[in-house]
Amino acid sequence: MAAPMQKLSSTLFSPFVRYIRIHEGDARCKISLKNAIRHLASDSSSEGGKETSPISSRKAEKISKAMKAYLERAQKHDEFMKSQVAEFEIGKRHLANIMGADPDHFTQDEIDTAIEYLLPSGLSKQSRPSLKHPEEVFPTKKAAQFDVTGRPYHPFFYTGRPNFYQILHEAALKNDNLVAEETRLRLNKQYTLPTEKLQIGGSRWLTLADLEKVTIEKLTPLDHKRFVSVLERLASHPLSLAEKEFIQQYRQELKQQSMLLEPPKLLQDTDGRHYQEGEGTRKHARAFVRVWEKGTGKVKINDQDLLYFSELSCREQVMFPLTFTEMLGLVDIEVEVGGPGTQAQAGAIRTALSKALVSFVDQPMAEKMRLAGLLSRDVRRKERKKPGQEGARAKFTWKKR
Amino acid sequence: MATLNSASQVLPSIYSISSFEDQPKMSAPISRYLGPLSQRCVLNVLRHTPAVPMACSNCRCRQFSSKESLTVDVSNLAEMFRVAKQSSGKPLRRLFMTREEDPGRHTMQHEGLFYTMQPETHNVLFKEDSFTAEFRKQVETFNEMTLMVRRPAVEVISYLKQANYAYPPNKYLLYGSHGTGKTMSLAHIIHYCHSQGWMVLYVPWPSSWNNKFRYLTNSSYKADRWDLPRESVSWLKQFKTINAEILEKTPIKTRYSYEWTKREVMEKGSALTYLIEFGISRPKFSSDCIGALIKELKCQNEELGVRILLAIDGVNSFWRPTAIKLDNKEFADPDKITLIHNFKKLLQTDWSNGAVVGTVDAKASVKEERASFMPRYLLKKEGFEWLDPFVPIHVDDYNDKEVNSCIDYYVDKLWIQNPKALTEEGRNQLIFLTNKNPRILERTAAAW
Repeated sequence: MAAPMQKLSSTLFSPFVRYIRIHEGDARCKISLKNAIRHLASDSSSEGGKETSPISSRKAEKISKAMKAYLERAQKHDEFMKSQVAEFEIGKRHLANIMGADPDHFTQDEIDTAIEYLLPSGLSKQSRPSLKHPEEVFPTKKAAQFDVTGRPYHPFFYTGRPNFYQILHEAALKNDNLVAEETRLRLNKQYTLPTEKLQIGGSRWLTLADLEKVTIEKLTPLDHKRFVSVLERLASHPLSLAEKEFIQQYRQELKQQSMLLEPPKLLQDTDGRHYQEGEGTRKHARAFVRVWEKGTGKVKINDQDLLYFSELSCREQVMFPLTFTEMLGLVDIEVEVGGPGTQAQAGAIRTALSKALVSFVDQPMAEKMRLAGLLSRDVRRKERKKPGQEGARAKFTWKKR
Repeated sequence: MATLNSASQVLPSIYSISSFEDQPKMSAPISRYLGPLSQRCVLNVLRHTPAVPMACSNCRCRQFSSKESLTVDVSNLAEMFRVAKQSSGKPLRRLFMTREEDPGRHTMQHEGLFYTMQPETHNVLFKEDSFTAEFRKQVETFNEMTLMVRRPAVEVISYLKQANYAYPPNKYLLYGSHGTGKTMSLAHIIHYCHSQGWMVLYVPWPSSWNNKFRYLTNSSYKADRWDLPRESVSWLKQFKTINAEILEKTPIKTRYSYEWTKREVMEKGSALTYLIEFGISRPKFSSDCIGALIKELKCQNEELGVRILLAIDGVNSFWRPTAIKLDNKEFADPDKITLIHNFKKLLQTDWSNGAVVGTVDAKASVKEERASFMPRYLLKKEGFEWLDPFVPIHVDDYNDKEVNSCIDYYVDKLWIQNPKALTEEGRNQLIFLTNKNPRILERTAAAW
């Protein structure tokens, strides 16, 4: 018994724990992984209890070096945090007094507004002065992962990221169980494809940052990829509804949102003809467009025709919203545009025209236009020239001497 | 704008040619496909009424004047064309083309339709330096020269038909923005005059005389003038080819004697062809030969009954500064070039039995003076007063009928091949993007 267990335990604590699969049908080792861990735990405790009791009692008196170091570190951290909290409390009360508020009921929101008022800053958000509870500022640290004898609590301790591997391990185990259940049903000819399936449409897997918060461990993008693939496999199993609760832990609900505002009402001129106006910008060019209904496709740009743009690509830019909304040849367009750059002017007209056309189209088409990016400003700007370089990216010609 | 006595006599009657507008209009898609058929006779077919035989005289579609072929169902367009093909001797060539190749018989009923100029005609009339490079390339690619019948040319031709040639020549100036078809309209007019047996003096692009001359020599006649021997010789050659028939038919004798050198003297009464040949063989005197030729034609053409057409593409370049730098570091006047000096004389009104048709083109002016395409702006005060009075004729972008006909032609010639461009939507996009400008349409279509 002892020899295979030893072998198993050594493999178990290797970082490749997720590759361990002990199947029910395996002739060499007919125990499940769960049982193996239970056995291992009881075995080691019983072994420790029976044979090494005198040693362990001696060890209890003699604290392991790791534990000692940890205890020192923990104590230091506790003291540090205590002093930080005290400082925070004093600072908060002081701030409340300055602002003439009640120090006992001074909330975090009030702290923020007070600091913004007292220390106005044009710096980026991360660089501005702030006052927060130390628990928010300093990262939480894991409590001791081992007992006084230096023995880890967690079976995956030596993987370096036990919590993370625990999740993968559980997910794999649950998947195996589902596969086994499916096989059993199939053999008994009771299996029918379940009518109700797990619906995970409106949510997404935890991001890398979120997963790091859950596990309190440093993870890499590759780890996150693994995490997603393992859970994806579990969720895609036909019987995964049984594990809904487990899967939902690692998913985040997505909120449905639409940025589209109510399009402005059509205006009417003295002849009773409807029209709409729109403004658009791109780089430093600005365009003002007026679109008239019941037109014949006339275009007037700064009192010239469409050949104001000698480049075809610019004319295509102007045409795009019209073809997108299938309004080509149905409306008349009048444009005033200014600012440097023909391409920028064409882009500005495109946005302005789209904004004006929204009032002429129905809601689904307006949503389509929004999704196509017609209604939002093109935020790209000219990249600045760098010193010591020819331009934004270009370097001076390299000469050997 | 222009109020010369002879021009004003012509003006009131010109709009009688636009009878097309008087007739009930057909819907656009049908008229597009029924291009070469006479409008009225098609309308009659559509209404199940007998066509009037005389209505078909314009387009030779006499098949519709017989009663039995008129009982075609309107809804079945294909059936109608089948009958049309069967009853006529020749099958209809293309729906956007007219078989009427005589420019004298083109009316507004043919507006927007292409007609073919036979190679033997256009090889004589138009040499390598005529037209734009793009059009020359198109002729080469399509292996045929087709011109669209458009309002400006039809209008000028109708004026030419009705003018009183006992009076000094009428001047017609085609103007319009870049690429609208001024040169092509001029070509149509030249073709008309040539077919009517006129003597054609065609100056393809005199703007090149001002700044793109190849050889510059001092004039043999006047000390402060310059000759362009190469340009002069090539123009004389071109004149000879265009008017070979007339020169052969009506032998013209010179009225003046010319002493080129002590040895080379042309006596009074020598043949005009001899003068031309002399100019070609002696490039040194070619510019002065052109002057002599113009002088002879001006005083003789009325007696001989030879009508003269002076066709100048980009006439405003006659008042454009030259690229000849003088010793005082100034640029020479255009008058100092013998060729320009001579042709300017033909723009005066001291002769008769002829006409002047020209175009004013922004591209023929210097770069700084291209803001507008209007004649007064491009000719400046001097040129305007020199040409005044003239009949200005605006050449505009295509209208709906013309642009559709043109696209049909390009599709037929596989100039447009993209299947998306063949759809109605693609066609609309093409029309929108090009703004119906003929030149830009041709360029854009090349990429589709």
